[in-house]
Amino acid sequence: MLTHYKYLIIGSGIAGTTAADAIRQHDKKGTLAILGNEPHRLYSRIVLSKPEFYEKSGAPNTLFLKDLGWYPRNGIDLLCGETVIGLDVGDNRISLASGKIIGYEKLLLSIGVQPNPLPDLEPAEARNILYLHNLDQANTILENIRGRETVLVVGGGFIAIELCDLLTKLDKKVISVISSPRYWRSTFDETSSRFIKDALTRNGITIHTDSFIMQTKGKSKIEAAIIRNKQTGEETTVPCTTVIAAIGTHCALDWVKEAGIDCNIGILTDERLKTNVPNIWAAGDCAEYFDLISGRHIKLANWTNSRAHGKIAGVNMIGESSSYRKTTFYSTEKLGLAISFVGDTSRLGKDKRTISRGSYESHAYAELRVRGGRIIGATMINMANELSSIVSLIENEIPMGKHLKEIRDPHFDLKSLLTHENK
Amino acid sequence: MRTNKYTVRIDKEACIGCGVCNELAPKIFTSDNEMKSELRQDAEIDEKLLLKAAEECASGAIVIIDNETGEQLWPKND
Repeated sequence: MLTHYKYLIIGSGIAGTTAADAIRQHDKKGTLAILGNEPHRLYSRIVLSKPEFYEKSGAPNTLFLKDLGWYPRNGIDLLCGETVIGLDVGDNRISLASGKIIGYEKLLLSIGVQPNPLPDLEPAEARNILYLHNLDQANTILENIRGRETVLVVGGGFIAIELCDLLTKLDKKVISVISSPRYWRSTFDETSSRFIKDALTRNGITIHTDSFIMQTKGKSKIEAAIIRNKQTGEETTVPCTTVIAAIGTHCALDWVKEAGIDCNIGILTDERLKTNVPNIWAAGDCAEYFDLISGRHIKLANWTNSRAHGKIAGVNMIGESSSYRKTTFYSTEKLGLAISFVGDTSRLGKDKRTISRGSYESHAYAELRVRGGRIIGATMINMANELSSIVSLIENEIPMGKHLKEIRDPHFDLKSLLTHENK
Repeated sequence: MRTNKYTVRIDKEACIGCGVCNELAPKIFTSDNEMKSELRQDAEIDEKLLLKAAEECASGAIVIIDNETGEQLWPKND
């Protein structure tokens, strides 16, 4: 039997749930369902990388962000544990692996991203590799590290650093393996990377750069990993009890592309988060949206952005025409460093350049991304107190003009650029 | 911040600045220079909204203590 909803949201995370909330603010009656492949209602992914989650056996009371009654109270059907296998944009219906077919009038794709699997391992070895992306994976890590002391973390980006910080706080011995010569290379320059490397070392974490795991030893449980250095060819056997990989994410877009929805690394949308197909929107980590501030399509994967996306997509699904124009940022305090990202942080782009502010020696450093004489994004280490100024400079499109040299000096007050005439 | 009933503080280390508290209860919360949550000096505490903001905070950064019992109402310690 075909079930039909006026609003169908695929993805039960923060983008999808916020969209449902936004729809219900305006349309109390239209039938609405949130469909998720996880067996859970909305929970905080941020909590999964906090020690409390593990210290409280996976059940801190800050984990779930909606009580079970919130969904029926708001007339929302929460369809958990369902996997979409097909989308027919002609007949406005989706097919599920469970055999069900659901029709929709308006559809939101907030399907998130998946962690990249660790390559080069035999299937039997790959099964023992853990990931920290969702609640079930966090619970697996919880079970796995209980009573075990040495954890090897593969990867040099955001989640990997969070894991190193978390495991250190949980008194585990941590070994960090990265395939590149330095940390967070896709986003950070050498100075920023140095902050991370030195913070890891200060926290007692053993580092293997330019290296990858060739093989793991142990059958049902890992006993060691064989690491190969790409530069020297040297192979080292590292005793460890757990291996967690955090080497980036990707969007699983097969059925989305097959349906005729334009995709690149994510689902392409305009600034209203609308796809090329009528009555279908995309929001959150999976959306590669047209960013009005940078003037190009970008894809961000962070909580703040996903939540803001959900709100815009929700109101647009009820018939408004709101544009997403927001400088999103994300701040985290890990390994004794205050790390912030704001706006377009990518180092790539021919017409873009980076201006350094501060230095390693002064323990505070920012990489300001500049295009067309304006700041369009930044990465910041121990400079969080300037975050609001940088957000304002980006959002108000303040031309740096003659100040481009001065902003290198951390004593130059960025707020002074936010004068009345500049705004 | 101390009201008649509650003592409220923001765990700045935990806060990621997502702005959900500010959105739900703009008369209680604002943002500081780091874009993190901050209690308004002139906050008008609506208890229902305060608790809702705390419960919907994804980083558990809003700490609420009952003045009478001294019990931490959020995040719960159990």
